[in-house]
Amino acid sequence: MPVTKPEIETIKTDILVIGGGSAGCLAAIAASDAAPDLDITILEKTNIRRSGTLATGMDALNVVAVPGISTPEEYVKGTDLDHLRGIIEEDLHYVLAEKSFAMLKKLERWGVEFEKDDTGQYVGIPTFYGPYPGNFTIPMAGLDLKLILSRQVARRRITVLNHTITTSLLSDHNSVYGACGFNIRNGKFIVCSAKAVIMAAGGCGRFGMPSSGYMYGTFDFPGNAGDGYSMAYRAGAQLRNFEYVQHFVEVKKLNVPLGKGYDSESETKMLNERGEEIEYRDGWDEDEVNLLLNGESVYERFSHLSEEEIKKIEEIWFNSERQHSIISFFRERKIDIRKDDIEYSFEDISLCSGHGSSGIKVDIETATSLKGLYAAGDVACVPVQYLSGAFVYGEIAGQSAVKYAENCDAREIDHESIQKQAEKIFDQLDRSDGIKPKDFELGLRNMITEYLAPPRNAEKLETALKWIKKFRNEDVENLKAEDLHELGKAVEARFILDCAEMTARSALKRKETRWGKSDFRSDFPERDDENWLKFVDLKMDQKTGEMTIFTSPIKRRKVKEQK
Amino acid sequence: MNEILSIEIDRDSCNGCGICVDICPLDCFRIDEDEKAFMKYDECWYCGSCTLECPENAMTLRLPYPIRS
Repeated sequence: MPVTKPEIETIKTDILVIGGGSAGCLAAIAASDAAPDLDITILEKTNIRRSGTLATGMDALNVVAVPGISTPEEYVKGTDLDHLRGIIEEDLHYVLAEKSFAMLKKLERWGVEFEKDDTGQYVGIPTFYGPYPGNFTIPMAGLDLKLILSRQVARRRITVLNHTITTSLLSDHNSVYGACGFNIRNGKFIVCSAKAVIMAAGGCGRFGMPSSGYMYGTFDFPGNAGDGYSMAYRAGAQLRNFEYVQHFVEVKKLNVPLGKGYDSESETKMLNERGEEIEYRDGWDEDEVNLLLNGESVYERFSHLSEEEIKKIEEIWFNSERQHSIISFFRERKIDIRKDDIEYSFEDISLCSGHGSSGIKVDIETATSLKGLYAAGDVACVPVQYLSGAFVYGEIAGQSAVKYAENCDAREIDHESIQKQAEKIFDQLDRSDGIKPKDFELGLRNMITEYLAPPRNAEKLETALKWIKKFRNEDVENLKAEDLHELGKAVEARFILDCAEMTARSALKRKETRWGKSDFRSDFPERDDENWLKFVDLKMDQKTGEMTIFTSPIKRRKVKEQK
Repeated sequence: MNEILSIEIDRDSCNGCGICVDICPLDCFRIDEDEKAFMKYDECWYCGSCTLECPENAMTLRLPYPIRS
């Protein structure tokens, strides 16, 4: 019998948004603007003011088709050739680019400043690594962006439940009608029924381990543990592209987007570990796979530059997004680019459709394969959509959910099964003995790094599956949490475990190498268009509870097919 | 002996208002018996939110190398 009996509170809303980050804020705002009389509720794991990947801001929108600078057609072509390599549903990317300029204008009305030249035109810089047309990245003064978004939410009739971690979706017969979770401060277990649910819980930032060995020193926001992927999967949704992991070369142990020749108009030098000057191009398979297979670092040298040039670079770096990490890193390590080279190496793998590819399968209305469930932002499969995608599709999700909710009746909640679910979670607080969630997570994530990070092969992936089975059958049932915060970590440990299985099984399925550093298979090192010009998808078999992996066709734009 | 943590809190400046406890995106802080903030959970992403939000400028971000990365 559980000692800590959870107090269950039932609430009702019309539209439930899970996650108050970039996509979640836009979704709630759009829903409220479309239907001011509907009840809209956001479940937010920490506090909407600073939560999500956007905590202290970002400094550009990477996908904006500004009239006169670039077109949606160019964007679709560029993202296909540069990022997606043929594994594409073109409509998703077309709609993103098509609606991106209106989104920029909306953000401007909310007080975000975008960079313009002397003629008043926006400054567009390249988004693609390769030589494809279109400058889609528009720099912005966006360090306060999350404050701006949360203020917009506060101005509307939107209920925000902060410090509430969502643990599962309420679902049956291929439809979703709410979610439950608990407040990590007061321990109240919340059951929220809703006519429509928008999943905006972000990606899986805590997946592989970063080079620092520090569990929270990840490239992506570590507050997100694949919550949305796992919850949607367990409700029966179709997910996609889990063989593709985000995997970047970054400043070793700093692990934020910085440098590699981008931040300087001056000619810096790239060197290998033997001090020889090399041509290293970020985002180019040839150069990156070389580093990956050799397990080497690459260095950038600035010491030959003038003081004026150095100052310019520092000025950019110390005012970039993640500036607090950057400033502290250089200060504490006493790194001075006037004399010191910067070391870059591969960092942690993660899952996220912001810069990566994996997510819940959605259409251009953000509808998932489950009725009543919409998804937007890093959790939804709009590959390499950046922050722009979270905004554009967040807004669409809000509008789609309103349309659905207006023609839908509220559903009855099965209180008995929820009581059991809540008790199962809270039992973890009452064990006299058990595994600390942090120890479990460290073991799991070390395994993920060893066996799921490219380069990988069938042997490694099978080994991963063997360990995943052990983690699942033996260890995860024995987690013991000391307090409510740790109880949240115990819930997240299961999310990460589900994500590991998604990546292991999807990677086994795709018997080729398509995206270099993101999916390199040493047993199938070549791209194979004849057999693999298709998506690898997955869902839970609702009868057996097993993960089913299957392929789906790619989709070119309808307009194009008619030509 | 003090644990080496990524956020240093100046206890003389901290007024115990709890803003950091409320806004940290990783839920790292709590208020102790002396009504001062402390880093209860060593799970910081170095985002800097607490340093920006603290009304007393009591929070400093540190990445003490090479003890901590």
